[in-house]
Amino acid sequence: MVENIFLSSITQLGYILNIIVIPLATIIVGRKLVKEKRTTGRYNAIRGLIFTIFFSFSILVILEFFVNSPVFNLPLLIELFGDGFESFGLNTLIIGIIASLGLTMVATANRWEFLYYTSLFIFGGMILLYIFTGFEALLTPYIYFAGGASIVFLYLTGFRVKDNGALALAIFFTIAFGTVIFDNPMITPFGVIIYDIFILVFSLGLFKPFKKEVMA
Amino acid sequence: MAEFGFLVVEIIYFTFGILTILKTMKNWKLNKNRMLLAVTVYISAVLVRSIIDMGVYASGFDIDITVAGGLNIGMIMGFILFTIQLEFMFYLMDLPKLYTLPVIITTYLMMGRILVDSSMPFIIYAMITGYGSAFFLIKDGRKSRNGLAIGMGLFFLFWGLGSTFQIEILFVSLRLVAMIALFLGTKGFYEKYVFVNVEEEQKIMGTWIAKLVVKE
Repeated sequence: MVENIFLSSITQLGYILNIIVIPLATIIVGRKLVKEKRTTGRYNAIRGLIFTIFFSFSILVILEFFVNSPVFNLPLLIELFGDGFESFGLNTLIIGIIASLGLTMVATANRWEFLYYTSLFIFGGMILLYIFTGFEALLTPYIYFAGGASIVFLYLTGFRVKDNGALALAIFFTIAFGTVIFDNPMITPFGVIIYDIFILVFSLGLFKPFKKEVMA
Repeated sequence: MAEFGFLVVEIIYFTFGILTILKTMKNWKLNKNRMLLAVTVYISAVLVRSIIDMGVYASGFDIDITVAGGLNIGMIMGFILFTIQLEFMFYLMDLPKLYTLPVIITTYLMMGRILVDSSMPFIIYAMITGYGSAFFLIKDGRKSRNGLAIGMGLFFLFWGLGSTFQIEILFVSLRLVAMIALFLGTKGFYEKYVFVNVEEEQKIMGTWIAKLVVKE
C-alpha cells in the first residue's frame, strides 16, 4: 500500500517535472539560438536541431500530462494520442519526429550532406503511406531502429567530433528510450526525473565535457 | 500488326538513342562536361527499357507480369526510370541534400501500388517529375542558350506527356518525338536554328538593307 502510494507520487512528480523542465529547457535553448543568430548572423544547425527536438519533446510531455492526469478528462485527446508504438497517433508521430531529427543531427554533425533529410523523408513517406493506404506496419520497426541508430551514432559523433550537443542528446535519448522500452513502474518514474535533471543541466550550458563545440 | 508498327517505331527510337549517346560521349571526351556524362547514363537506362520493349513487341510477350498487388514489371521499370530522371535533375540543380528523395518516393509508391490497385500516384509522380524537369531545363536552357538542356527539357516534356495519357500508341509516338528532340539538342540544332543571335541578325539585316540601297 505504502509502496503503491510512493510509486504513484513519484510518477505524478515525474509528469509535473516534465511539463515544467522540458519546456523551460526548450525556452533556454531557443533563446541561445536566437542570441547566436543575432551575433553571427546565421542559425547554428546543430543548435537549431536541438531546439526542434526539445520543442517536439515539450509538446509530447504536455500532451502526455493531459492524457494521464486524473484531473482532466479528455476522451478525444486520449484517442488521438494513442498508446504504444504499434499504430499512428500523436504519441508515435512526435516520437518518430524526434527519432528522425536525432538521425538528422548525426548527419549534420558529420556533414553527410546527402543524408541530411533522409530520415525525415522516410518518416514523412510513412505518414503519407498511412494516410492513403492505412498501412502502418513499418512504424514500430522504424521508431526502434531510428531511436537505436540515433543513440549509437550520437555517441559516436559526440566522441568523434567532440560535440557536447550530440553527446548530451545521446545520453538523453538513452535514458528517455530506456524508460520507454523498460516500461516498469519501478524504473520509469526515476528515469523521467533523471533525464529532466540532465536536460536542465545541459540547456543551462553546464554540460561541457568537451571545451570546443562543433559549428555546423 | 499494331505490334509490328510499334516495333518499327521502337527500333527508330533506339537508333536515335544510340546516336545521341555516341554524340554526347564524343562531346564529353572533348570538354569533360559532367552534364554530358549524366545524360549518357540516363539515356543508357532509357535504352535498357527500350531493348525490353523491342523484345516484347517482337515476341508478343506480355511484360505486365504482376509482382504483387497492383505492381507489375512494366511499372517497376517506369519507377526506376523516373528515379534516375529525378536524380539527374537534382544532380544538375546541385542539390545533394535531396539525392535520397527519389529512391524513398519510389519505394513508397511501389508499396502503395502493392497495397492499393490505383495508377493515380504513379501518374501524378510521372507528371511532377516529367513536367517539373522539363520546365527547369527549358527555362535554364533558354537563359544559358544551351541546346542540350533544351533538348533534355523537350525530351522530359514529351516523355511526361506520353506517361500521362497511358495510351500505348501515344506513349510510343511521343517517346520517339522526345528522343528526336534530344538528338537535335546534342547535334547543336537549337543553337543554330532556334536561338536568335541578335548580332548576327542585325548583320544580315544590315547587308540586306545595304543591298537594297545600292540597287536603288
